[in-house]
Amino acid sequence: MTIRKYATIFSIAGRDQFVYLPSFLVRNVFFLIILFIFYSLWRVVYGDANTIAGFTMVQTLWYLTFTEAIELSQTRIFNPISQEVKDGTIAYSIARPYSYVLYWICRGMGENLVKVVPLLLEGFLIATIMVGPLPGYLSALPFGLIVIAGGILVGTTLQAIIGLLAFWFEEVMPFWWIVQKLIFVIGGLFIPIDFYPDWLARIARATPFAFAAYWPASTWVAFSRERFLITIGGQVFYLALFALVAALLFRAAVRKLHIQGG
Amino acid sequence: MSEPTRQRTNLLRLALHYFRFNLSAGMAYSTSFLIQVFGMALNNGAFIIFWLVLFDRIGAEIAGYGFTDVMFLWALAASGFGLSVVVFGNTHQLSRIIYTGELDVYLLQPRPVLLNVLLSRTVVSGWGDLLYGLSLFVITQPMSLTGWLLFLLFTILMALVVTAVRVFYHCLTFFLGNAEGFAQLAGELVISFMLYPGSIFRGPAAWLLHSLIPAAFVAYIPARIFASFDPGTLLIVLAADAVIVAAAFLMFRLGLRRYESGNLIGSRM
Amino acid sequence: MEPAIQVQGLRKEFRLRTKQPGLKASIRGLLRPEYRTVEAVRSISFQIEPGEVLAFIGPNGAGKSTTIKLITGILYPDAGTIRVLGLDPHRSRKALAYRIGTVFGQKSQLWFHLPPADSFQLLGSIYDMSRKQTQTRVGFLSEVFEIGDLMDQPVRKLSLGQRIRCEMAASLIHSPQILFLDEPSIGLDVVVKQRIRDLIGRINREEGVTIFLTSHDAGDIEKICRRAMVINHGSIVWDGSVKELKYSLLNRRIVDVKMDGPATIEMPGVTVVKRKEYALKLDVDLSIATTESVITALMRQSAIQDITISSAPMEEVISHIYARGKGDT
Repeated sequence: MTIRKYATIFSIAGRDQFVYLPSFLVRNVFFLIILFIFYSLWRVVYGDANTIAGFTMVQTLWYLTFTEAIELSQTRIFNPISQEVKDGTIAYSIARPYSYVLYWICRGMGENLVKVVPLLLEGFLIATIMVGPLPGYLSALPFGLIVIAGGILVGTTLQAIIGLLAFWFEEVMPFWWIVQKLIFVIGGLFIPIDFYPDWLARIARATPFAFAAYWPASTWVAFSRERFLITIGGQVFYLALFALVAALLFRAAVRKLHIQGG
Repeated sequence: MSEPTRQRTNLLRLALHYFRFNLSAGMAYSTSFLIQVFGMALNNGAFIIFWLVLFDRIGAEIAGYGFTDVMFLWALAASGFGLSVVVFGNTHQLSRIIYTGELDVYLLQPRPVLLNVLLSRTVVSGWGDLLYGLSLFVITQPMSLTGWLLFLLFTILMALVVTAVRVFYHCLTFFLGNAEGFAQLAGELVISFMLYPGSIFRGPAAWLLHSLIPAAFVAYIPARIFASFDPGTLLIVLAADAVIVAAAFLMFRLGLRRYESGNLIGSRM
Repeated sequence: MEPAIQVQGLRKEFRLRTKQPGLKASIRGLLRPEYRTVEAVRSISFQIEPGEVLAFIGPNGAGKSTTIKLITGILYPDAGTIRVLGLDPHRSRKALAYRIGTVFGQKSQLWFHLPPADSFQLLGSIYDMSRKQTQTRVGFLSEVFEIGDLMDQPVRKLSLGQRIRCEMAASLIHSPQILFLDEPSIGLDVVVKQRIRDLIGRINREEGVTIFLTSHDAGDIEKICRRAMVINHGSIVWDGSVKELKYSLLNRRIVDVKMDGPATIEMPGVTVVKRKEYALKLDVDLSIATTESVITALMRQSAIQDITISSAPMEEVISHIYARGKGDT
């Protein structure tokens, strides 16, 4: 029963996305152009070199289509959450018969997965035209899809936590900037972590941010069973951790709500 | 004083008044103000790591640009964008102001409409961009008086052109219905292109960067002038930037004739 | 004296984008949008003298707001000429802005998160007033509108009635000669409405400000306006004094009568609206019956203790005009 409830939230949120054609176009055009910029840059960077840090140019470009697709597909659920906290409507929302945080994560994921599919298709076309096909694309496809969904889920859960911070902070946007930038840099959104100096790469690979960008993308472009298992394992570990953090934050928030009367 | 002169000084007074007004409104929530300013500065700082890593991996130059040159682009873009949103903070709202009919309020005031709209709000995080841009310039660029003067000039030009480009695309709302998403995209693209060495773009992309997404005239060419000063090129930049600003004003004027004051209800683009 | 407002052959059309629901239609609409033309204002002409208080009435979508926006220079007309205080509102937008004030119910001139005092200061500098001029004027207005204690609270914390009073004060900061009010009393309770009406009347009397008011509210029109103009489907269907509007347009009388004993009446054109013991309330259609014949018929049955004869209420007059307007097209 409970599962069905969240499945419904998820699927309605997904269908709802088809209405927003203009934002769909805007997102996909931005994706196209940002990939073009990356292509222009990396073409010059690679020059005659075959591989840099173990990555061929084909792999690097495909890697970036995957990380960008993960990033651009994410609905900013911390916005509506912090809004509800600020204007007090959260008091009504938490009275409904479902977990508030889980509701937003499901709703966010419903939208995200609808958004990511066109991005992945577009990325496939653009990358194929720009640098040619990715060796092993098809055989890694089912695993790639799973870990990319997992990466989006890690990002979305982080966003839910940021949204809840509105109970304690007037403005949560800066927290999002910081998390987003950590995913950009430490998570390897703009550049595979392997390009980093060894000591930094080792730290970066262990952070949750890497499991929201680097690990899923590199699993697809350089597939191996070990890599896939590490990615899944890391994602499950961090999701459990974040779920715990979100639950604790939420409990503290509700207590605060009761004391202050909303 | 003659009539036009009086108008201009009054406009400057109004700009200053808006500026003080918005700043004090922003300061009223001082923690939030500081979090936003430093959050944005930190936010921008993250990208330095990307470039450090890249240059560290592959050597001294990417298409003729060294690390210092790329940092100049970043310093210029951040301070120019920051100045733009601090002074003309209402730009990103322009589409909404047009399609909801909020423009009425500005049309009823005895001031130049477009400037009145743009000046009347500020974006607090812009101070963070400005702070970051200036610091980056001080840290990464060689110090000289001409250097500073050029940087300040280019920052102001960048602010004007970034604003103008966004105004231009937001004005499509007059003609097509809500073009907000499109205008935001155009604004983001101009900024995105500015942050990469201009010389990596060839062919049609390079043309685009000299026209519809005029990153060349506010970032790449100024960077070249900064590296080696050339008065002729500077004149070209000034002329091109003037054309871009004029185009935005013209677009707004034409749009105003089509303005429907919120009667466009139900149509969205 | 030159008229306050002079309008001749004014026309305005809107192109509305029509869109079918659904993804396929959205894509089609994006590539090849379809439009439908709506004539909002169809060649209207009128003139308003300085110091007049005019009610501009009409149902939603009749062209009221469009007309007011054309006159104030917000919208460009498709045809016709407009002169406000002798100025063309489009060619001389800025010059005119110094001389007119506006209160548009939905569009606030006040900064939502700031106290009115700050907005007044800023508006003063927008209208080129010195700090001292602004101070004197704000002092005067805050006395008239009794907003002295609201001045330092953020606008978002004010009640609707308090906010409208501040809005009105803001619109008068530069001592305009004409004040345009678009639905000023919408959503207010009876007491506040009355207060707003008194204030509008006072501004008209004491500062000689010409008032151009649109409203749905019958009370607004009846209590403060001397002249009324009715617009429907973009055309002016009535222009005259409010008194005339009320007495001649609806040919009906309401007769309240208290009898000494039981009485009934059955006559074509007369309906009994209410009956309580020996008291009756009758609605008389003057095109079929006369008040005289009604009174005679009643007096035959019993003595009359008390009687009042009044015209139909303003609300009904207005809805009648709207209904008639609909029949025209």
